[in-house]
Amino acid sequence: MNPRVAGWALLCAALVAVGLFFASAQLVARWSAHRFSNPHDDLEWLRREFRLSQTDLERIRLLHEGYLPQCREWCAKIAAKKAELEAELAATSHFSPRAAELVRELASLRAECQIRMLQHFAEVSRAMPADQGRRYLAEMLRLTLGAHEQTERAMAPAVLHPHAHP
Amino acid sequence: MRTSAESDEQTLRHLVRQARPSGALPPDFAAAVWRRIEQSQATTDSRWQHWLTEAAAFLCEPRHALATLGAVLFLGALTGLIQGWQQSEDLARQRYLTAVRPPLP
Repeated sequence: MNPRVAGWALLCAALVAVGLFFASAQLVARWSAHRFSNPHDDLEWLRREFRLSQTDLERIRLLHEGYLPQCREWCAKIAAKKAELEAELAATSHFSPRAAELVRELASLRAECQIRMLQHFAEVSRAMPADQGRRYLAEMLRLTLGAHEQTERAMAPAVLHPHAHP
Repeated sequence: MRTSAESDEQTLRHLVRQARPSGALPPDFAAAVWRRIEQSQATTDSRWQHWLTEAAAFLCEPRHALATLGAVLFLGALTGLIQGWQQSEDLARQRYLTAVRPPLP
């Protein structure tokens, strides 16, 4: 075979091989990520991350299943209040006292909902072995309250943090 | 009085002078050097071309091509499995958080 032709053939083969490698990696990654994450169980992450025994997991499942209807109820209340506020804002051209009242009520509902959520996290952490429970609580506070803190920090002017470290 | 170090140095200089090659280079010395360089380059080029031809011929055989294809797909799938395992943790965590966290303001 002509060396020049052989060189081109090998280059094409290498390109096809690289393409197939990445395509198969992508396909298998997508499929296995879905499968390994156990899509039918919300508590799969807890089981894996905090190495829970079957007994611990069942105890937590009871707490989780008790909490979900409450959470949904609060979410429905928040959604209804939000819809009410949007309707009020759409109905008047100015920001009415009623709209201000609705904003306060909405904030209050959200705060109450957050309190219930934190209480639930505390309950779940107590149902775990002590060290894992502490880790769970710290992680959940980071993941839930941390999101609010980031927004607040991003919106607050720099002068409000004169002692902030770089 | 001469020291022993000076005497050694004198002896060394004398020996170096004697060891230096004398006489003119052969008439075609430069041409011979260039010829050897060209030969060595030609050997390297032909070795490279030989390797290319051999590799292409190897892949032209259907069973070798299939084996290579299989190996590439297997390695790709293995990499995908490792990535999938890592991504599944994020998916599972997101699912748990979506279930327990109220909507953000």
